[in-house]
Amino acid sequence: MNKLVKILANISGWAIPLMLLLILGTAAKKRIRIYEVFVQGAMEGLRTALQLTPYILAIFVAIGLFRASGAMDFLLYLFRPILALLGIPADLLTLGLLKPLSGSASLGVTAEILQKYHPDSRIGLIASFIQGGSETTFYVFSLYLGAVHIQDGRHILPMGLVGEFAAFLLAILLGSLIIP
Amino acid sequence: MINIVWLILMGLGTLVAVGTGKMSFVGNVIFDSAGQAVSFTIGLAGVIAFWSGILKVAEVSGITVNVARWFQPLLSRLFPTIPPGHKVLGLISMTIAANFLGLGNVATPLGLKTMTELNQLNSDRDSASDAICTFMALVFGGFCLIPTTLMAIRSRTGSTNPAVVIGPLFLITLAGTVLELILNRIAIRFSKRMISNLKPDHRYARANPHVKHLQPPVRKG
Repeated sequence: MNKLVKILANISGWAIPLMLLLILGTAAKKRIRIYEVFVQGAMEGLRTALQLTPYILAIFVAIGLFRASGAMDFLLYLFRPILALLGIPADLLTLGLLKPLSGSASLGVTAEILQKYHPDSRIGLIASFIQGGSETTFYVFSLYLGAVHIQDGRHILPMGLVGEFAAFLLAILLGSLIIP
Repeated sequence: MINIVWLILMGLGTLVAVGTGKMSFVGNVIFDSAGQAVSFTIGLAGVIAFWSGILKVAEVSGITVNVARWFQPLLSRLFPTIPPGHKVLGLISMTIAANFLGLGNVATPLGLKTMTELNQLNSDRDSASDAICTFMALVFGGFCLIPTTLMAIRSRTGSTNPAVVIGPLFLITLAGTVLELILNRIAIRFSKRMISNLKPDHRYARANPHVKHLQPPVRKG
């Protein structure tokens, strides 16, 4: 099985250099003024990136305040009895609630859970599935729509949250099926 | 909706801090998070600018349009409003492919570039187009074969079998993507019906978003 990990890691590792070589090779064949085109594109990208600052700022401060003030723990405290009935450990709920908000924070919580319960245990597996099964909805939403300054996101955010919740349930279901 | 969520996060955060007597704490957290946000954006700016440059080279060399042609049969069904063979279809495919291979650092710059190109085709710049909504459904679905970061954490925390998550995660992300696409389809249909139920002059206003004085007040969600 570790061989599989190595092969897959190799695919991921090879993808970027191969892609670069393909693009540079094609550009060279077509005699494109590659340096000038690159700089022009990078300038456009830089403009997009800097426009993102207020959106990232809004989400970072809100999440920072929400977590550090203890509001997050308060929310978890409210949900705990319902979860106890369903047999879901509180750690998994922390992860499920944090996942849509912050990628780095949820990655940290995943690492803690894996350390505490062992990655190949039932809870470890479920935590891995929650971590890998969905996107960081709020962050991705503000990042992607911020890049184009769209104010009216229509149904995008609710759609993402429903999908994230479904992935959370599916993660628990699959984990419990694999290790009963 | 993002307005309500932001209000709840900020408001509840501040209230709980004040309620538990951590008054000075609020200012400190804002100072720290705001600093982190700016250094994060600057860190991200480098990689976004780099890949935007490379993508520009790919675009000028005709690679983007070629990729669009490969995925045309599948994508034309998902994105009926985008002209066939348009370069943005190539960008969409590359974004999804990067995520599929677990290349998060490339997927984000690609995704943002795709968004700016999709917005070029958007007739109403304040509101997300159908194509943007569909693209976001694909991104949120996060269809992935190689969860690189996750496997790294699993093997670091002592898993004897870090790759065991690949199969189940393939299923979960596939199901998630399909679900998001279905939800998206339903929501788009629904909003179309709402528009066709509007009075004729309102319908005209919706179809011609540039005629500003006819526009109904916008509900910002």
